[in-house]
Amino acid sequence: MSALPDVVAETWSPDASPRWRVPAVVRLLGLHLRSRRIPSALIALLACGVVLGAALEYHWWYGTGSAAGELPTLLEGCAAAIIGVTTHSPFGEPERATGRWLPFLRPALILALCGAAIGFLAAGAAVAYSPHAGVGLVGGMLPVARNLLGFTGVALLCSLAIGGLLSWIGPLAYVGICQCAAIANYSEPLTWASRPPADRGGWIAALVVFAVGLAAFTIRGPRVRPSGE
Amino acid sequence: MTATIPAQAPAPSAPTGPRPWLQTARLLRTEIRHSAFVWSLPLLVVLFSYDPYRTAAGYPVLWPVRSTVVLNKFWPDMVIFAAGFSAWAGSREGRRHVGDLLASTARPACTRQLCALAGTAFWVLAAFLAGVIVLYVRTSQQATWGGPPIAPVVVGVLGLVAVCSLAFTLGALFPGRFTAPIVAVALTIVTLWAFRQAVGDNGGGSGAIGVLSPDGGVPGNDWGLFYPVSIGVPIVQGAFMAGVAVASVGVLGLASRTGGVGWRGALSGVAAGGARLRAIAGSAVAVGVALAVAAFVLAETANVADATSTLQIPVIDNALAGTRPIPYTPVCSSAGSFPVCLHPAFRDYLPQVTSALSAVVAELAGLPGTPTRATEVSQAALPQAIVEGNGNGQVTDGVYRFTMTNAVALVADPGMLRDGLQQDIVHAVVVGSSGKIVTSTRPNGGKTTGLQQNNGTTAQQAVEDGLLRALGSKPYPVGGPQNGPGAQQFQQQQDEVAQAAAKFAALPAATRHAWLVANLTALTAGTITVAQLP
Repeated sequence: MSALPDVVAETWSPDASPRWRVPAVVRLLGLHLRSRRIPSALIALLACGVVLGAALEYHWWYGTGSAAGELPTLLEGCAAAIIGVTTHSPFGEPERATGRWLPFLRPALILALCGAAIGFLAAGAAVAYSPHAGVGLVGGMLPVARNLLGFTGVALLCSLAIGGLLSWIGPLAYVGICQCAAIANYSEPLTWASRPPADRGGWIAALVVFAVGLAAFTIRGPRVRPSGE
Repeated sequence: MTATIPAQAPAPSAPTGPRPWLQTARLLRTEIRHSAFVWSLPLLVVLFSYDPYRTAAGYPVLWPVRSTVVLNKFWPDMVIFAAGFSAWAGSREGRRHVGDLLASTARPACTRQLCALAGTAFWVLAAFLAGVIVLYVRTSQQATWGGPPIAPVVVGVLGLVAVCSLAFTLGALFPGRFTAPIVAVALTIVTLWAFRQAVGDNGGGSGAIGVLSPDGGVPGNDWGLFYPVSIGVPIVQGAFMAGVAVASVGVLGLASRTGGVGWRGALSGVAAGGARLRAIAGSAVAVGVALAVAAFVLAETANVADATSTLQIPVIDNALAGTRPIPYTPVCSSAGSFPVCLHPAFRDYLPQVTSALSAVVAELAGLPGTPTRATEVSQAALPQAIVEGNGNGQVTDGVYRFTMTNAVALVADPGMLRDGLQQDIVHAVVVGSSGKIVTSTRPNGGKTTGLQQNNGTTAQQAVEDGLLRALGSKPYPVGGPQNGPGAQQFQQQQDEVAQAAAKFAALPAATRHAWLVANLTALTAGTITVAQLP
């Protein structure tokens, strides 16, 4: 009985290991990132960039005419799907009652992941870029950023409806619709991936979907189904 | 002492519970009811109506051409969903970390996994077959000849089963929240890559991957009408897909992460894990790999048959299909009009074709070289110069023999049909042949063959375009330099031709015809200049 107070004191004393204390904000951020599997997500996004570079370098797809952006658009959808899947929280409802930082962490994480995805895809395209050989993204990086933001908005909206883990359905299906629109020369602002790079309507539609998705996700968070998924 | 024989103990009664297959059926029913694939059905309906259905509705009403939508449009649309949800189902146990919990269940892990796979595949195939039924019912209401091809449906089903099996196995082997989208995109990229091998800028269909790809190019309109479509290509594609599916299921049974016996267990004769499962899983891997390799080797032998102009596997097609023409009774225009006969599959186009040809024949009536009747033939029956050039056919012995392959566009365009046919007749009467195939030597010494188009003299072009203009058709397409020193001169020449053609077309029909009767021989001989035209 006499040892118990000593053990407790040793464990919880603020003087026990003062050099190893981590600020609460950083610790919270680290735990939030780990709970969303951000390291794995970054690796997956990096893989998207690598695949884009390899696809451009070795010309993996039939890239002429309206189908020129088929594979880059698919990889943008894949990156958006990965970002959407990170919205899932393993803690579900209890996490919402634990503090006031969640509404700030959610959009910050999404914006950071979008930036990382655009960066990785840009790096992949830059490595493969060869103007003499005609290797490069049709339209440059503008459509990549627009499409990724728009698809991410779709993924966030899907996470509200069917949960974070299944939210990948939305962007991948939307990629399919945009591809069909591009091949059929059917162009509406909502099928932004089939629009020219600097098209104002496409940009407005993509950014509106992203903004609405991000705002709704910030306020409500992903749906947590009874199964925990 | 008397020996007593103990009474024989009664045999233990058989268990009275439900039979194993009934339990498996119940498990399968549960998996079907709880499959997440249901979430994608509304999206698939949107994609289906937006892509395959819309595309098929625009194609000519020909069973072989419209059925290509099943594999060229619908199948690739399904792949991303089939792969994603199969990987999702496969990664379920690992994603939820319930492996230990499920290890003590009564049913073997392999049965459990296969039921989960079958539950997803059920929805995938149900959605695919529902779409095919819609496409085929719509086509059957419009088509005038032939019946629904079964081969694309079988290949599509086997392909989707292969995609489901492969994705499920990958999901089971590498469970995680990112597995489903990554596997879905990865298999879609493989599909795109194979499609490029089939139709891309590498020649198209030259390699085994291109032959094995279900998603390929759209054939000509008379594909499968005059000669049978290759049966070897779908057989090889189906065998490859079946091999991939069987091998994937075998890997599922062998991998210890998915509840199988493990790789070492498969190779060991005394390892635990079930000798029957070990034997079945190992055999499945062996059979699947053998099937896929055999299909790949056969696909390497594919070539384009000269007679039918279709890709074929000689070993299979020579034995099963052959190159004998398909018998048919042509449909012909009614008596009194210019006699035109078409393949019955093009019955709906007969009024348009008759109208276009009657108008041009009336304009050229009495002139030497004007055909007295027209009949559709297979594209393979026409000279190579016609196939590679602008025309649809040629006039020989007073008969205009033409193909509908290039005459009817994949997107409905009545003007294209009329223009092409009228250009052919006018060109044959005023200029002559459309060109010839010539062999030339490159600077590096290599030989190349190509079409040398016969444009005729500028006077012939002017008369030709004037007649076409009077008929309401587009001018005959004339090739010439688009850049370089000769481009400006060529453009100037074409401007003169256009002016002379407009002037000739503005003449009264009787005056035009009288001038042609008097001067056609000199015009075709090339002795009349543009300045001499009326």
